[in-house]
Amino acid sequence: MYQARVSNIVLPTESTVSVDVDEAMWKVFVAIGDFWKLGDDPEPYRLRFREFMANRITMSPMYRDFYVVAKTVMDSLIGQYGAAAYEQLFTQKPRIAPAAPPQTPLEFVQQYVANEFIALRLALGSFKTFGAINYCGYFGGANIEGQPVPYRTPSEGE
Amino acid sequence: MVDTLIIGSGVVATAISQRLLEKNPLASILILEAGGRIKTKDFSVWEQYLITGRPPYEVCRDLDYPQRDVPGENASVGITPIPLIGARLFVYGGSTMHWGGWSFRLKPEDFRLNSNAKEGGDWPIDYDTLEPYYSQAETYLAVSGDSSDRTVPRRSEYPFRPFPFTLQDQPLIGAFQKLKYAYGNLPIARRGVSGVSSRHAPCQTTGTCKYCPFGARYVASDYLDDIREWNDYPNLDIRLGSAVESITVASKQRASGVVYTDKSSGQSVTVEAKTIIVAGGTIESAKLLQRSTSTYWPHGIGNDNDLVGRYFITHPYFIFSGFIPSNNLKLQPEMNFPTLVSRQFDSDAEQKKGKFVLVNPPDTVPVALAAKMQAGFSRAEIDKYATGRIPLQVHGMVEVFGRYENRIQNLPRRNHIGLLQTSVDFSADQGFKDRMSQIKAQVQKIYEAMGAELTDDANVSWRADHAACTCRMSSDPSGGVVNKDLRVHGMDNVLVCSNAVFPNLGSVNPTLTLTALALRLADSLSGAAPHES
Repeated sequence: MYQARVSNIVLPTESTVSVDVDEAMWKVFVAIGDFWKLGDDPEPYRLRFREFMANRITMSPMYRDFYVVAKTVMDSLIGQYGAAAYEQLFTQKPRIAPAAPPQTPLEFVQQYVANEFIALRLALGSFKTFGAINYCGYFGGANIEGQPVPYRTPSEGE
Repeated sequence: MVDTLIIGSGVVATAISQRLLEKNPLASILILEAGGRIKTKDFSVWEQYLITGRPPYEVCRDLDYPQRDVPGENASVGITPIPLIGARLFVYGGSTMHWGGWSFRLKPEDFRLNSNAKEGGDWPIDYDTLEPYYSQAETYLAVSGDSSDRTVPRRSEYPFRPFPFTLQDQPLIGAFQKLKYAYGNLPIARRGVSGVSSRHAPCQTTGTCKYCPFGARYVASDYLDDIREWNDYPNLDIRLGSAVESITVASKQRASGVVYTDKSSGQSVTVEAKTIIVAGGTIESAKLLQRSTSTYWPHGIGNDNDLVGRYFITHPYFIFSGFIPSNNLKLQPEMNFPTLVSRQFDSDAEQKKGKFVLVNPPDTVPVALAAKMQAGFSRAEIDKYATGRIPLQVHGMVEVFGRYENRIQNLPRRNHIGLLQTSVDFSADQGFKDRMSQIKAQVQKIYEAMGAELTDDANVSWRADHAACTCRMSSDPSGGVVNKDLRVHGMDNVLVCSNAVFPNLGSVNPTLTLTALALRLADSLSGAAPHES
C-alpha cells in the first residue's frame, strides 16, 4: 500500500504569486525539459511546482520578490533573444558552481530561480531520462517483500 | 526531587525514558537538553534541504576551530586535528538528528580486545550478555537487515528485511566475489514494512536521509514527542535550553542533583535527583564529570585516578578514490545510504593491527546531474560525462586504540550553545600510516578486480562522529570510570551512558551498541529481568 502513488491531494491549486509571475516561472520550468531533452511531460508536476514556490516563500518571504525579478529578467531576455532566451538563461554563465553572490540580475535569476527549478525538475522525475529509476529527492517507494525494488539492483546490470 | 534525571536528549534518554515509563507510567523523569528544537518532518524545510543541501540543524553544530580570520571555538591541541564541526549536534534529539543509521553489532572478540591484542580495554560484559539487547535495539531503532547473515551471532531476526543491493554495488560485489571476501547487506536504521504496526512511516527511498520528510530514520526527538503526546505520563519533564554546569554531591558516594543554566532566563537552577544519568555524548559527558568538583571529588566525579576524558578515540573514516574507464551501466546515486558492506577485515586476525570495514557509499560513482545542468552543460555533454570515465570510491573505517595521553578537557570559555568549550588533545599512533598502507594494499586488489584504477592514497577524516572511550567501563576503578552497570566507580547514583563508556570501539558505528547498553541500563534501573522487555 505504501507504493501507491497519490498525486496532489492537498496541494495548492492557486499560486502564491501573481498569475503572470506564476506563468513566467512555469515557462522557465517547462523550458528546462525542452533544453535538456528530458522527455517527460511537465504538466503532472505543475501543482508540485506551485507548492515549491509557495514553500520557498514560506521559508524566505524574499522569494516572492525573487520570482518577480525573474519574470522581469525573462521578459527582457525574450525581448532580446526571442525563443533563445531560455538557452541564454541556462548557459550564459561560467561552467562551474557559483561560489560568490550574483553580480548581475541574470546571475541572480540563474542562482536563485533557474538552478533551483533544475534541481526540482530532476527530483520530480526527469532524472529518469539519464537511466536510473530512483534519485535523491524522488519518492521512489518502500522496500516491500514481493514488490519491485524502488531502485536498480545488480540484476539490471546483467 | 526527581527520581531519574537524564542529561542529554538523544537516543539514550529516549530509550531509557520510554522503557521506564512503560514499566511505571508515574515514573518521575527529568531530561535536560542544552540545545533547542529543530522542526522535523516539515515539507518546506525538506525542500529547502533538497535544493540547497544544507540541513536545518547546521546551527546546532560546533563552530570550526579558531583560524586566522575566524574566531571559531574549541581547541585542537594534539598533533592530529580532530574536527568537531559536523560530528555532533546540540539539539533536542541529540546527534540522532543527523546520524546515518548504520546499525552494526560489535563482534564477540571486540569485547576482549585487551586479552586478545593487549590494546584498549576488555569490556566487563561479554557479547552474550548484550546480545538480547542488541535484538531489542534493532527493533527499537527500526533496523532493516539480513537475518540470515551470521557474520555476528544473533538469536533473533531483524524487524525489517534488508534493502537489496543497488546496481551501484555491482562492481564492488564482483570484486569481493573474485577475491573471496565476505560481504553482506549493511544493516541500516530505516523503517521498513512488516506486520508490526507503527505510527512512523516506512522509508520511501527518497534519498534525503539527513532530513527525512517522513521520519523513517530514527530521530530521538520524534520518539520523545510521541512519548509526550500519545501517553499520560504526568511526571515526565523535558527542559530544552538547559546547560548543565555540574553535578552536586551530598557525600563521596551520593550525588544530590545538578546545577544548570536556564538559557532563556540566564538563571542558575538547582534540581535534586535520586539517580543521575549522564548521556551527553562522549565529549560532554566526560567534561561534565571533570568540572563537577567538590571536597569529595577534588578532580571531578569519578576522576580520582585521572581517567575521565582520557583514552579518547574516534574512527578514522577513509575514502579511496579512483576511476572506472567507462560507465556503461549509467551508474549514479539512487539512494542516500549504503547497502553493501564487507567485514572481511573486521576479524580476529586483524584485531591487533586494527580491524576495518569496507563500505560502498551511495555515491560511489558520484554522477552529479543537477550540478552539470546548473553549470550550463548541454545534454550531449552530460550524456558523455555520465557514461564515460568516471570516479569510483570505496569507503571504510579502521579501529584505532585508546592512549592515556589523548584526552578531552573543558576550556574556560563558552561555545555558541552556552556550554564550556572543548580542548581535544589527540595524536595518532606513529604506526597509523603503516596501517593505512596495509589497507591501501588490500583496496588496490579490489580496484584491480573491478577493472578500475586506484589513483590516490586514502583521504582520511578524523572527524569525531564516533568519539568514544573517555569514561571507560572497567571491572575496577584503576582501569576505568564506570563499572559494568555504567555506575561511576565509587558513586551509588551517578551513571554514564554514552559512547564514552566503551572500552574500545571496534571498527563499526557505535549507536546500536549504545542503544543496547541504554536498554540494558533501563532494565537494571526498573528492576526488570533481562528478557522481560
